[in-house]
This record gives sequence, structure tokens and C-alpha cells, in this order.
Amino acid sequence: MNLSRRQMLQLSGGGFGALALNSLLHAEGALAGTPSANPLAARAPHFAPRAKAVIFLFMYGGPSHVDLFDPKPELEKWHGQAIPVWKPEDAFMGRKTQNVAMKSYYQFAKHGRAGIDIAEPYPFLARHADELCVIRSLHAESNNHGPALFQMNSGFIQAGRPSMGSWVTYGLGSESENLPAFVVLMDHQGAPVNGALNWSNGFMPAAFQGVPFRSSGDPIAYLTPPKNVSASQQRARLDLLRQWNEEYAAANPAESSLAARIASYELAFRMQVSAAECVDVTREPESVRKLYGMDRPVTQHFGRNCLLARRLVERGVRFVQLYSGGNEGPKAWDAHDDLRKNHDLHCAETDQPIAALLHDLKVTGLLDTTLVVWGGEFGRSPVAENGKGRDHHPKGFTMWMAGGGIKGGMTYGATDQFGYAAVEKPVSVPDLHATILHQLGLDHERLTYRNTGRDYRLTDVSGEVVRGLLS
Amino acid sequence: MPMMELFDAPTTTDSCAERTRSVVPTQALVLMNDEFVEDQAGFLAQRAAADDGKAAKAIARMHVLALAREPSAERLKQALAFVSAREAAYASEAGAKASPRQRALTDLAHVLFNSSEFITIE
Repeated sequence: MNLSRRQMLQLSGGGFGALALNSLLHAEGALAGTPSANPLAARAPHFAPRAKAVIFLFMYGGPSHVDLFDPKPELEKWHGQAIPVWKPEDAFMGRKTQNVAMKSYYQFAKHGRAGIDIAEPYPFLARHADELCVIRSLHAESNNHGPALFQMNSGFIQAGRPSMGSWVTYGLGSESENLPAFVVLMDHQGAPVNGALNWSNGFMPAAFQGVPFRSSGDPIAYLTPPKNVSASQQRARLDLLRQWNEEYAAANPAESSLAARIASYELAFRMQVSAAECVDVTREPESVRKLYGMDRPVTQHFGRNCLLARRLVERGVRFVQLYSGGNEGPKAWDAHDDLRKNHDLHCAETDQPIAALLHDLKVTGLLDTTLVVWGGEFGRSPVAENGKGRDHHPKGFTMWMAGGGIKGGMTYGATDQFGYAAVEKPVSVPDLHATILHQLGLDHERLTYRNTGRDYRLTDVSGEVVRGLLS
Repeated sequence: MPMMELFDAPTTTDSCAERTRSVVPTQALVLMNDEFVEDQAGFLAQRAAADDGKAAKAIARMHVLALAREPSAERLKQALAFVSAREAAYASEAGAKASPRQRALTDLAHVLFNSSEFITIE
């Protein structure tokens, strides 16, 4: 048998439990590429990919499209008046939102060669306008954070489905033998609603779920053993542990979590060296840390996570999801009460770090193969809430993408004159998912996973690749 | 508490209809490397140490305390081999507070605390 070094490592790294898992997966004929013993082994895509990695900048809470990327002069004319398109049921959970149009607090200007509209709280990002593909015609199905987060992450508004990062890991495996394939970086304010369900493997094997890093202090806790435990002592413990865990997994073959547990110990052992190096952002020159705003209190948290995302992608991590906004209410982009105060803060926290990330990815050449996605679970209503805020609004909102084979310097689709509904070239969440998978070389109709008697897709029964966005 | 957080403790701000159960390498890191686990392993080894100095008795007691079952004959054999190998390694080292036997049993207790059988609810 001829084995490459990489195959040998994957076979020896995966272990007995992974063999059982692999046979389960292949019995369904579900995986895209060649069979391997390790569930995280790299697998061939369906066709040549344009992107190797995704960085999803998740603006949790719902950033306002009409205040950031989708200017609506009509709202100035209608300011203070009822707009004909708005319906009382658009208010979230019976809130007292009235049909009173509210103009934007912000000035817009055209940026870059293509003249992309970007509002004033995003000055650093505006310099990268020619990299951005601004999609103004997104629409989603729920105006409640929990279900809307589920839809943006997993395609379904209910819990229980695998998240996009899990689908990507399932389809392509991991490029890195020493780091997880799917990493989640949370906001310093805490986790978004739904918590770990947002990066869940759903009905897939547990090895495909997202690995959250800590949002403050050391990104990964406990990377080194206690001082009185030597390396040889730790290895001796792990050898016996592996033997016992394999026996236990063999006795309980239906539990995929047991194979994942074995793989997690092997990965954890290697992470002690490789991840410690990767997450140590102090290794970056001071100029780079400053570029990301790590020297300023307002940008230091998201800046650190953006810099970490670049270091992770550089080292072969496939899918990195960064959350801006945590917990709920004003700590997220959920600007019910005072839109200006809320978006001033969250734009300030993210503007310089995102611009630095785009710049850094570009100069290192990684932007060509890294797809950057920006957006929340929905947008915000064109009418006022509590006088100065805006309510949740999923019928039309903006997201943007950059790099990874996406056409920069363009806007795509449109909402109506009030920014209420996506009317021109509407893009559904499954369309967005199909497009992201396509850039990674995966056909969303062929990437299926059998569960409870039927083949599931990230895009379920809809979704079309938005060809107009591709370069 | 980082350990609780890593093992899917729910947030305290929302109601929690169902607890999530994840398996990620950062959990392995906390169980491998947290001083707390190390200390508890030492306590289990102390508690199980047999008066008559028989390693087999201590190993059996550790299994009962941690897993609520006696070790199988095969498991006992593996554990004994492990403990005597670790003990031999420590015998040549000077300066440690605990005895080589105590240190070897602590290693075994640590393996028990990290084992899938201990972590998983059947």
C-alpha cells in the first residue's frame, strides 16, 4: 500500500473510533471526496474552488441597512409620516412600534471607483469599497433573533440543523492537522442568543462542530499542563486514556460523540504546541497590532479577533466566524432604543479592525482565496421605534462579501424606495449559502447528509448560486 | 468558570429549553491541564490508597468511586501495568513530596477523570 506522509498521519491520527465513524458516513455515500479514516481529513471538493476559507463577520443583533449601506432619500421626505408599505405585524412581538418613517441619522458618500454608498460611521471600511460586493436585496424568514440566527447559520429557523461551518467541514475536512477546522470567536460581551447551538453540528457527527475560543484573555485556556506534570508523564496518561476510550467507543458504536472525544484528545495534544503559537498575537509586529486597533480600547477586542482570524486562515483553518455584539440589547447591534448611540459604538468597534483585515488579507495574497462575509441575522425597520430606534426587519437588508472569487466594487439587488422589502434581484438566505458553498468548490445540491430517512442539504429545497456576484 | 463554559453551561440571561452537548478539543485541554483536575486526581489517589499497600485494591476502589463499577480482569491488568511503570519512572526521581506509588495512582486517577466513561452519561 502506497501512502503519502499526509495520508499516513491522517490514518494514524484518526484512530479506531474514527474508522467506525468513517464507515458510517461512507455507508451513506455522503462524503464528497476520497474515503479516509479521520473525519477531519482533507477531502476533495466537487469542482475547483475559488476560496479555501471563509471569514464570516457576524454583526449579531441586526445592523441597519438604511443607515449603513442602503441610503433612502425617500425616508427624508416621509420622515415622521406613515409609509404605505409598512404593516402592524412587522413589529416584533407586539411592540408598540408605530408606522412613522425615520430618516437616517447618518450622511452617506460614494466611495471607490464604483461609487459604493457607505455611511459615515464606517470611514476605514469605505477605503476598501472597491473590494466590496454589497448585496442590498437579502431577505430572511424570521424577525426574532433566535430563529433568525438559526436561519443565517444553518438554513433553518428551528434548532437542530448543522451550521454552515459544519457543512463546510463535512464537505472539505480540515486543512490543518493541528487546529480545528471551524473556529468561533465571540464578542467580549458574551455569546449571542442560542449560544453554542449557533455553531452546532446538528445531526452530523460531533467532530464537525465549531470550536469557540475565549473572547478575552488567552483565546484558548489550559494550553499548558500544570508545572509539576512532565511531558512524558502527560504522554503516558494519554496513551492509556486513548486505549480505554477506544475500547469504550467500540462497545458503544452508535455514539459518534465518543469517536469525536478520542479525536478531540489527539487534536488537543497537538494544539498545545501549534495553537499556542497561532493564538499568540503578540508575535505580530507592533505596527500590525496597531493596524487592527489593538492599541485602542474601543477596537482592541474585535481587532484581536480579526487578527486571530487572519492567523487562523493562514494556518489552514477553513471557517472562522467572528461575532460582533454579544449577550443582547444594546450590547449587540439591536438598536431598539437609540440607533445612533448603538451603531456609533458597534461601527467604531468593528470599522478599523475589518478594514485592517481586508488590507492584511490583500497584502498577504490571502484575499484571493479567503471569502469574507459581513452581515447580521436581519436588518432594521425603516420606521422608528421608541422615537430614536429601529425594530427588527427581515424583509430586506444588506450584507457584503469580499475576496474569494467575488466581484469587488459592486452593489447587487435593491430594496424598494423605503428600504422595506427586497424587490430587485432578491437574495434569500439559501441563495447566499449556495453561493458561499459554490466558492468553496461545493455544489449545494450534491452536498447532502442522510438523517431520519432523507437527504438533508444546507439549502434544503431551494437556493441558487447568485452568479452575478462571481468574478 | 471556564470549565463550566467549555462544557456548555447555558447563559443565565435566557431560558434554556434544552442543554447543548458539544465535544470539542478545548474541553480535552481543560481536563488535561487544569490544576483543579490535577488536585482532584491526587485526592482520589489518596482516598483509594489501600492500608495494606496493594495496588490492585486501590485501583479497584478508584474504579468504584469514579465509575461506580469494579474493573474487569483485563482492565485491572492494564491499570496495574500502568501503575507499576509509572512507579518505576518516579522511583529514580528525587525530591518529590508524594511517594512514587501515590504519584502513579494520581496519574491513573487523572486518566479516569478524562475517560469517556467518566465524562459520558449512559
